[in-house]
Amino acid sequence: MSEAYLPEALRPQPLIEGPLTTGGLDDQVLQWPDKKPPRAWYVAVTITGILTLIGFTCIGYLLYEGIGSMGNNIPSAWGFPIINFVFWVGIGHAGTLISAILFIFRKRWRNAISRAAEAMTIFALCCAAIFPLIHVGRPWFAYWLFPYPNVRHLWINFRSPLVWDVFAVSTYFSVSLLFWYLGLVPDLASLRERTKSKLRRGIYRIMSLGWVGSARNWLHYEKAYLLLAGLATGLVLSVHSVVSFDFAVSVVPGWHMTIFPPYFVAGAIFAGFAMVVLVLSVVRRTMHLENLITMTHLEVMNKMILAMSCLMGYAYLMEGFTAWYSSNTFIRYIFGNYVWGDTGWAGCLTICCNVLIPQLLWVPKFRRSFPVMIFVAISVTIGMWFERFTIIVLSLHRDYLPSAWGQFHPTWVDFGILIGSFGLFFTLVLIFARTLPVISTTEVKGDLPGAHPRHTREGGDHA
Amino acid sequence: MPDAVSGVIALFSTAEELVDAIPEVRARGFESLEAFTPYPVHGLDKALKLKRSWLPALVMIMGGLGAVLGFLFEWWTSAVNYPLHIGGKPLNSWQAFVPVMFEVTVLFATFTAGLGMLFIFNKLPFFGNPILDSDAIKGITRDKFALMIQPVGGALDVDAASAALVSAGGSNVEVVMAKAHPPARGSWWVKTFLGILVACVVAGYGTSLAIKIYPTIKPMVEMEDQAKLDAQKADGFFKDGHGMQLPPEGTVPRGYMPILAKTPEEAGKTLFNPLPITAKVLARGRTLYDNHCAVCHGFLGRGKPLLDKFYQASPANLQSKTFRDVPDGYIYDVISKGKGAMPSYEADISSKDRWAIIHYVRALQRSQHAREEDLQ
Amino acid sequence: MNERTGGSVNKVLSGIAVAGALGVAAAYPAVGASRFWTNWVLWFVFLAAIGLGCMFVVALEHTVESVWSVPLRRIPERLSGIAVWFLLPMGLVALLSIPVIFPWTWSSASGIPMIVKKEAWLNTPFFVIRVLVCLALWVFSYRMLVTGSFKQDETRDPMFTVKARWFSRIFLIIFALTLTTVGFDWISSLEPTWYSDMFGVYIFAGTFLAGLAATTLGAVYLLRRGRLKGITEDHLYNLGGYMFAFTVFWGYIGFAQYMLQWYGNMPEEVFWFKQRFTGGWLAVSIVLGVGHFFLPFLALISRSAKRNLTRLRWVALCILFFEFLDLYWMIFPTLGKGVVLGWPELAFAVFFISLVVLWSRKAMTKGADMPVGDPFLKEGMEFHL
Repeated sequence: MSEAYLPEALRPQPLIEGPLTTGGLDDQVLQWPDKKPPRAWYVAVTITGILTLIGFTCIGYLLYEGIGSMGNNIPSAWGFPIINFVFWVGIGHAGTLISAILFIFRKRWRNAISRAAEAMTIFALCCAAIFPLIHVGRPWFAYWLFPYPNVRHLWINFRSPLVWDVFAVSTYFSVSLLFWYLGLVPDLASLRERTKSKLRRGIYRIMSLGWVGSARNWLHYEKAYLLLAGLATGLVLSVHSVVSFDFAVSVVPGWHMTIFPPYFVAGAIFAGFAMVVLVLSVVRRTMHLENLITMTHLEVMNKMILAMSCLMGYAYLMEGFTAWYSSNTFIRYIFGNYVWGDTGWAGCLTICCNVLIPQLLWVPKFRRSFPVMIFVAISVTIGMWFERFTIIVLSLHRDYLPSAWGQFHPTWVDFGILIGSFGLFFTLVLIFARTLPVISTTEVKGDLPGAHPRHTREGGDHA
Repeated sequence: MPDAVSGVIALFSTAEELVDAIPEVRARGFESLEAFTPYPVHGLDKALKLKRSWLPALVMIMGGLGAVLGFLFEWWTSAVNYPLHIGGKPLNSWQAFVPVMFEVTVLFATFTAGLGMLFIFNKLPFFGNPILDSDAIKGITRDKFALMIQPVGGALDVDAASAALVSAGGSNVEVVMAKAHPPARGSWWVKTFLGILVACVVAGYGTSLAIKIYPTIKPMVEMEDQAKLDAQKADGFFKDGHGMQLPPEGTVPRGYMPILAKTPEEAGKTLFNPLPITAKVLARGRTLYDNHCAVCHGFLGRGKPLLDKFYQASPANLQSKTFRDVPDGYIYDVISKGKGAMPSYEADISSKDRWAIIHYVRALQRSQHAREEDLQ
Repeated sequence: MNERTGGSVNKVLSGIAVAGALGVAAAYPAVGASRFWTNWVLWFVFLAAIGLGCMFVVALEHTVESVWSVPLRRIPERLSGIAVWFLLPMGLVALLSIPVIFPWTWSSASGIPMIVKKEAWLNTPFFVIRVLVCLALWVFSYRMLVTGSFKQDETRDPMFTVKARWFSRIFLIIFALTLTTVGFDWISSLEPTWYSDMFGVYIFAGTFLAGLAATTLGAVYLLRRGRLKGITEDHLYNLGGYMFAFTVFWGYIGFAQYMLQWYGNMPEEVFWFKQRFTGGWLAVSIVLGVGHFFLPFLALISRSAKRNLTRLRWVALCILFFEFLDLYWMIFPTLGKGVVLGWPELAFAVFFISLVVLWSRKAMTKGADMPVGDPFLKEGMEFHL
């Protein structure tokens, strides 16, 4: 169809810029695992490695000294660890949304970014999983979480949302890993055939499971991928909903709000997309993948961030309104406390970073501008962390009885572990970029012009 | 055994050429075909007449199984095997069982989809596929599309097949030979499994040995060795070295009133039974008397102890005139402080209870010395 | 179907509508104002779900710039006329119900502190203003989104699509706020001491489903008459897929709302659910759960089911029926009696269903069957999975 007469705003944007052959795509993306990385990579990994080390040192100190070295205390018995846990699980959600949900909706722009996004999901979950283990008083009893009858034949408490969490997050982690790995298998087969090093060839040979790409293989593979995508969609909605149940099933004022499940899921997608934008902006530049991860991709992701920001605004409005509407003194107080209490700066920061700043993305020019994009993404990351802080710490430190009120004081251990989790995440991302294909060449090959026979389908490259 | 022909393969540059070539090759009488592509090509399944995959049905069945098993497990552990009322929720709190049931459903379904696709439908991992050693595989994983004519019933006219492929537009025709001794899939599995098992066993033993030799650092040392005084431990905090101190002189436990009278006679003049004589009080007195007093004083208070043979002392006969005449306070003082061989019961029986016992004793006394009017 | 049979069908429908109207009118003196107005509000909210749902479908399609849905877009555009032709008169009439069925208007409300504290929101003048603002916004949005689309049929001006995409984003915000207001005002405030901040999302889930179901029924109606040529099984698959996905979404939202209030067991919240899980209402709740979730879920789970026109028609009807049951289950227990189902309810149903069907049949003749002026129509027709 002729695009010449379409107004500028309606013209479809190409997903792959410039001419690119199937072989050329392989060369561009798959050259990296075989190459020595540039010096900048070593510098980056050193920095993130140091941060990770700081984190693990703090964790070691925590395990040695005990919970008192953290800020957790009565009344804020949940502090930084749970904030960080919810934060990191949330960040993982964008990966599954991009790879699973957008696959179901057949949005082709997801193909170039799904591999990196899924990897980020898995790394985010690795970071998240640390926190529930270290914040309990006796971590050596962590196995009590699993469903087995103990010496007194007592089972785990299936009515507890903390047990639901165990099932949800572990299912999410294993399914994400499976989904990511399945997507990797054909790419690993490509690497197997390309690589010159005998050691790497052996590793790729095993990891690609002997994949040959026969039509029968692809038939079952595509079915499995579609089914996994559909199931992962349901899973991603349920996981952060179960995490929100940790709070919503209680009667703590400010926590017992029915909107928590979709509110948390929207927040997770929001934070996750911001992280994906941050990581991909750097990846596409340093790995010279601008023609594959185009400005169009970033713009669409920014639109998602904007949409989620509006959803968050709606959720905050609903929470605030319902808090007032409930006529419940305690709920009314706590929501007022969120914004004008003694720690009200956290609530204000949350609203500012999550709802106000992303509104910049209404302007098309800003959606395609790196400084604005990165500024918005960082502000969203900060805002979402503070949102969890507001919900958890502010609700706990001043609940029903004023005699039970207290103040929360984070310690250097708290901050150290938080920094360490960021360090761990970025270290894993850097290692991933070094060793595995950052873009799913298999899927993008199917998007190149002429990829499919013309008489059956269009092999176009439009969004 | 000579190498068998696994097939004849040719490469095409575009997907369209491959799909167009298939009916041409088929027209030449070659029905057993397989295609290899670097990515899934639309329309290829139809061209090769491949049957639909059974995977979705299997996934649905396993998902349903997961739902049922997940729910039943939760319900059985929480309502049948070890029922506990938690948070006032009913035993069959199905609302609370739904989240885990959903997760187990998804777990079963996704693992069936992923692992089922690999192991059952694609029979991977398998490293013995002859294509892996061919020249064509490099192109296949990169940007070439391959069509392979496979033997039917073990027989294949290699030249005719090659000619068919070339005339359909293929290039780099290659005859793929099956390995003489392909590695059996089973043996690879067994080797891997045994290897992992051995590694785990070695690691486990090694760790337990290491821990025995090198004592580990105690985790959360501040929790285990807390800086507080424990009841049974010595501690230098107090002068006498005890962690737990006795209460100061004159400490009176709650619910106990000290007796200011010095002798039982004085107590008899100053202390009076505060409890009313009700059936409840008498019943309590009876229970306590039977538990604490009857062993020496007998069930009727006659002073015939149950352990008569073993116990050398002679307990007081509460039915005697002396004890019928003494005031309640006297008896209270004796119970509290003890007299002669009788120990003090102050620590065992609270003040109120002691007065209840006294009411009962009076009732006992009256029962053995009933007056005329009591019988009417 | 030719002109004559079409005309006679319309005549029959008109006759039924008149009979229904008589029944409705008779109900007011017969069963009392309370029950009359409860029925009226129920139908107002149900038709709002369909009309606004269709408008949301249109706006969503513009916002995500989807191409496959362009050939089908005229159907929800036509049906969103319900938001103007039905909601406007019904809403204005419904204002008369305020002192009758809303407890916060009664004199006894001044003795209940929990209601008194909400007076700033739940008072008649503000309520009326909110209703009027919502109605005005819906009419305005209809003009911006739909009237312009009909005009585009003639002018073939692609700039309308640009404008529609831009306005749709605004409409999504308008929709979110007005639908939440409808939910809180017309349904939740019937029980003024109850609150649930998920309520707007729950109403949205049902509304979107109603819009999808109505669109599907419209598509079935046209396809059976040989219109909408060029629509393939792939388009139907997408419609079926969306109905499937949002049935799951509704189930998730409904369950989450219920489970959280059940778990917290706070008296001021849970009484609302307790009322709907006792006596006759328990049966309705179970039927609702099965019919609104399990039935469409199982009926649409297979790939072939999503492409089958007959299956889609039955599932769409099922979804609309159970959405109605959902609203009935939310609204009617506030009457305070057991399950209320009698001839007045039947009269209302007959009246409104026949009127809506009659109106829809006429609406289906308005403009072209597809938005012929849309620059992406051709690409949409060529859509394949």
